[in-house]
Amino acid sequence: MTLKELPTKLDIDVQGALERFAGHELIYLKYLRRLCTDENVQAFSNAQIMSDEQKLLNLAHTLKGITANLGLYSLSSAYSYIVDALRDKKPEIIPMLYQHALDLQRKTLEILRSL
Amino acid sequence: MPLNTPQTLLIVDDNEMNREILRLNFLDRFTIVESSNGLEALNYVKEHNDEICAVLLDKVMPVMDAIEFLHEVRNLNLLKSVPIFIVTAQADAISNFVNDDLGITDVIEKPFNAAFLKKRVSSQVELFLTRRSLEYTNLKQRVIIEKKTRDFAELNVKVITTLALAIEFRSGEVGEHVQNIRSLTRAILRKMREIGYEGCADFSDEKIELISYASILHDVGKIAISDLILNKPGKLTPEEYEVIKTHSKKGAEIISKINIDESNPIMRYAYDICLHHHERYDGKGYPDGLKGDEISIEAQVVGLADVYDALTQERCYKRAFSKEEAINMMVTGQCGSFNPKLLAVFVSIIGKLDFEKNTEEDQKALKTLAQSLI
Repeated sequence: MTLKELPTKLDIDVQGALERFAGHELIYLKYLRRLCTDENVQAFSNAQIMSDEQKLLNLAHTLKGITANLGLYSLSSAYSYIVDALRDKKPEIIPMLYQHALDLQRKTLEILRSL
Repeated sequence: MPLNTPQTLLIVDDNEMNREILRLNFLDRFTIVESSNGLEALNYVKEHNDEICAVLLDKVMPVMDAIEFLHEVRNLNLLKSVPIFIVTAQADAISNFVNDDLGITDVIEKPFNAAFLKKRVSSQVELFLTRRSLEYTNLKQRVIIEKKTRDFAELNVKVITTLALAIEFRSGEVGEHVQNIRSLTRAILRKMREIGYEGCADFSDEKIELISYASILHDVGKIAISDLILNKPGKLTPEEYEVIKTHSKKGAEIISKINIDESNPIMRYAYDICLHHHERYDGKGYPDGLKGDEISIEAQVVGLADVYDALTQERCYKRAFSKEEAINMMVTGQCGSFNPKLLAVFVSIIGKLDFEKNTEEDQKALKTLAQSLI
């Protein structure tokens, strides 16, 4: 799959992200691919993280920033909901938001692996 | 612009991709330095503070976060006026930065628009560099103005000294009298300070130099006295003596008409010395007939030095008396009337004085005086 085809499979703003990378397509691609093996993503995938609110908050916050910079706005929003819920002290909705983010993360990474 | 214009943009973020994005956007404009946490950045800032023109700072980082970094920077007085931007995915959670008054320039929210980011950072850097350049220019101008003021003050001292010497030459003397008065005044005042003489124990070096310098103007009023009387060989008639006596008031008038700031201590001392250096401790002097401690200490000291020097120098109407003869005349009341304590101080030092001129001490004194005139 090419970079141009990506928006047909994912909610991604390639043009906006490329501008952020100052037009350096190869570098942008490098980080899109690297997301699949990113340690923060791996840590988020482990359900154990749910038991440590502070760790979950830091992780969701970091992933929110990374994915937003890559133009993956839906995924970024999914992490952002978790950050907001934790900050607003609404633990009861965290499992649902976590599951939503995890599903979207899995789907996104599957597509990115074909790049 | 200053020679060392800061050119370094410091990017502090624990995420490699975030750092790279920022680096790519400013690569063509700045020298980029990256740190992966606050502590690493702080160590860099300590070594390269003057090279940094802006900081892009992630909020949440391991080891040392943005808040701790900023507290350290402010405590160490580093990055003064340097624009600092917080780059965060949670811009609404920055109130603690603002409340702590940590000097944040702006907050940039991820994901940022590259064009706006560049514009915001560049305009703040421009502002910083312009302000810095202006401060540098102001500093340079201040140094130049201070030098010119110093030069002017030294010139001022020299001009007044020249005026005093000119008056003395007009009286048919060779220019030693005013220098002797100055040296004697300085030596007597220093001794008075050393022994803790009442009212003189806390005299500073500067004050002593000011009074000593002001002493050279004691006879400036003689410029208003006719040559015929001033340079008359032999004894003056009572009428002529009355004319001569007016020189103290005339001198004070001249000093008061010199348009120098009234708060200038030299002119205040000079005025008092001109007016009262012929007063006598027993109240029989002129022009005001002041008695005892009604006469200021500086006028008493200069009056004593003036009498001693006049006695020991040859004049058109008298021979030069020896040091011992002069002291004897002063102590026995044949010539003048002085505060006995002051006279005792004078007698204790007069044998040790050296009247060489243009000494290194005089050069130092000139600089002290010039400083006080600024």
